[in-house]
Amino acid sequence: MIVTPGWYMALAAVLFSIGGAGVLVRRNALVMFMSIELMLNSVNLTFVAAGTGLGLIEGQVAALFVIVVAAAEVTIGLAILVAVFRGRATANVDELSSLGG
Amino acid sequence: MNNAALLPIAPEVILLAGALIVILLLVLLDRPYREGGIVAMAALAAAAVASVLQWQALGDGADNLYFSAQGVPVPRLPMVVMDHYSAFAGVVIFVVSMLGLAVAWRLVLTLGARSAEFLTLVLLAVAGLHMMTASANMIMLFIGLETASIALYVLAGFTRERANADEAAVKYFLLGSLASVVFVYGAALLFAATGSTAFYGAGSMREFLAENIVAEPAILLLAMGLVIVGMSFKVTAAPFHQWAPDVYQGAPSGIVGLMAAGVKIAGFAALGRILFSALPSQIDDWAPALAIIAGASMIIGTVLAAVQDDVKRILAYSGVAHAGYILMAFVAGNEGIGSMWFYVTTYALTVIGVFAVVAVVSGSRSGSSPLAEWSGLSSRAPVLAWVMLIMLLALAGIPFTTGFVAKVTVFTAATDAGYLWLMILALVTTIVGLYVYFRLAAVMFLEGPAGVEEVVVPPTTALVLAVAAVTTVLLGLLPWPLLDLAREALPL
Amino acid sequence: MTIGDWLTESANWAFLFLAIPTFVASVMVVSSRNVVRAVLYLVIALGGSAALFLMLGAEFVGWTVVLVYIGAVIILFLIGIMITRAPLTKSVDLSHPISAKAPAALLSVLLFGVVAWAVVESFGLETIPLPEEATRTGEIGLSIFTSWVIPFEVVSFVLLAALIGGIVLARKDEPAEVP
Repeated sequence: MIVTPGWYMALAAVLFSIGGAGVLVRRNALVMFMSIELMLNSVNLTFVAAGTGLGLIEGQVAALFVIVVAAAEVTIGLAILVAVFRGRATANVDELSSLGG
Repeated sequence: MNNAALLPIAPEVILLAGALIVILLLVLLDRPYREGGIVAMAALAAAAVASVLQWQALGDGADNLYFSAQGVPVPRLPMVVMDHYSAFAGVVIFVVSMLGLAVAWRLVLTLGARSAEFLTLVLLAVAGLHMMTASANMIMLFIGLETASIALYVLAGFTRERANADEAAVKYFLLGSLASVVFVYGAALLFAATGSTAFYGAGSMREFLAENIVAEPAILLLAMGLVIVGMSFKVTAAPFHQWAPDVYQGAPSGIVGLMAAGVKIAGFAALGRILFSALPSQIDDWAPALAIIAGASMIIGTVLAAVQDDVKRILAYSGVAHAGYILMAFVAGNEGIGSMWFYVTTYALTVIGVFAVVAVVSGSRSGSSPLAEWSGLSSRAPVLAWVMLIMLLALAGIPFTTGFVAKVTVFTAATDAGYLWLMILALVTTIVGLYVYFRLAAVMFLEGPAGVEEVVVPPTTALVLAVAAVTTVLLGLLPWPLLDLAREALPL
Repeated sequence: MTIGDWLTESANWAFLFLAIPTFVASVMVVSSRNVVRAVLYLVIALGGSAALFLMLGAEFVGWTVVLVYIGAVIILFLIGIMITRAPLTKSVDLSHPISAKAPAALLSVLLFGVVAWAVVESFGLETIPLPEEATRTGEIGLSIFTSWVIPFEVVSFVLLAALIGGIVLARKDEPAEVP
């Protein structure tokens, strides 16, 4: 079995950019958040691919920590989104306009 | 493991214990809101004492500089580092947090049973902030960053009866997690480029970069860029500052001071930890990038602060400009650390004071603070107006205040490092910035009173204002004790 | 190495077989006008990357992604959609107009170009045999509970903050008390 870590990291770069585009372009808070999850996943792919390429276990351990922290972030993020949008029947951030920013 | 070996993690342990005691009190006692606040204050004070003890132990030649697991050869994979840098950061963060919590005291008492959760989140956020500055590993730093961020996302939207606080929480959360992702992607690419996540020890980033000349540095440059961008978000440096005005305006005034000052201290300290400790050999690559971000922050922050009509937004944009001035210290590398610390410390004290005044004038639960509420403050509450004036003079950088000394030190650092253009730019924006602060002062002193209602200053807030005003003037006149300490607070 | 050489290697075919669906699903996540569909495409994207982790020899990470992301996070997203009553059908106001999209899209393409170039430039595309010691789950466990035990403990700070934060956000406000 052989692998080419460079290809995996290039794919991670693609996924990271797609996620970044999603955050910048989309206005639906849930979709923006999903894009951020996509970016986090590409971070994990980079960690693991680099670890495999260098023959180090650290890459996988780092990816596991990122997964745990990201899961905690998802909990809080969705709790915030649900608390905010429960009464509004929309998840469009542009309708959050009373701050004028 | 003897007790001295635990000293590097003592502040975090104390804060976590404090957080758990606050929760337990809620179960054991009837309405322990005030008691919970006292426990939280005591935990912060004890953590500050622990940081002072760390500093002294270092002066006596402590040999437990790192904290790592038992049985792991310590310099192999250190996780927590104890040096003058982290001890200084600890004292500043914990003292500023105590002041911030004192400003929020009234808010805590009005929260009822939710005050325990509020206090726990504050303690966890502070622990995370200090962890960022004391990490010896990128993953540790990221976990500290996330601890602080998650707690602060919730605190930003804490008083949920107002729609503004909700929106502040959503914006803070989406942009904050984007920043975290960018930062950790930079960490992943740094790992790919150097084969390590550690700052210190055998095979760390620093050793790797000192021993190897990177032939194809593209990935290393990109990784550093992403790490800097991620941290710029957190410290509200332009062009990554857009969230700050909305979040400051939406979050409860009682807690904004802590959010603004605490995150800035820890963000700059963490950025310094990464750049000075892990990547000192790449200074020629990251210093110009930071200089550009610093210049952009000064211009954007100053110009946009001049056109705002809400005091919290003015202060948010002023914070962007000040982030630029602080970044000026970074371009000087190790020589700039002392001026960075002096600026960050005095700026944090001033910001806590300013937001304390905002919390008094506009109410600690409220979000916005329109300029109209401030007109004629001098006739309604003369002492408060004069204290605010002192803070504004410090923010503007007028002589005999800390702001002046801080600006002089960072300007000298940048000039000595050869960034004359940055110093000139900073000088120009400082002069333009005078308008921002004098505009607010004019509203307070020259316009007629906005109403007849009396301005009530809670005793805890009065104490904070006294501390902030006295330190602002005293350290402005006699800056040398703090300057000497700041120059000693170097990372390993 | 020429394209022909590259294509004769079966591992590369497997990589393409997983990478292309992952890529397409990711594009669909950010471009789908229907939020529920976006979540389901996210399942495909995450499943694809879980399989890529397995290909890289990171079995434990791969299965953790399946359990944590596909098992838990996706469900949370679906519950979030359900509770916020986000429109399930096509919605036109889901995104910015084209004029606002163009700079963002350009920025992302630029970001991709720079990152991909940097990766290929620095890391190269050399093929390596899968190292034996980087694949065993036991090694990861040993690593987490020796060198990485401090961050492992500290993660509990994050979880405690998330737990309390979740309670705060989910609970109904009590009437404010004036001291």
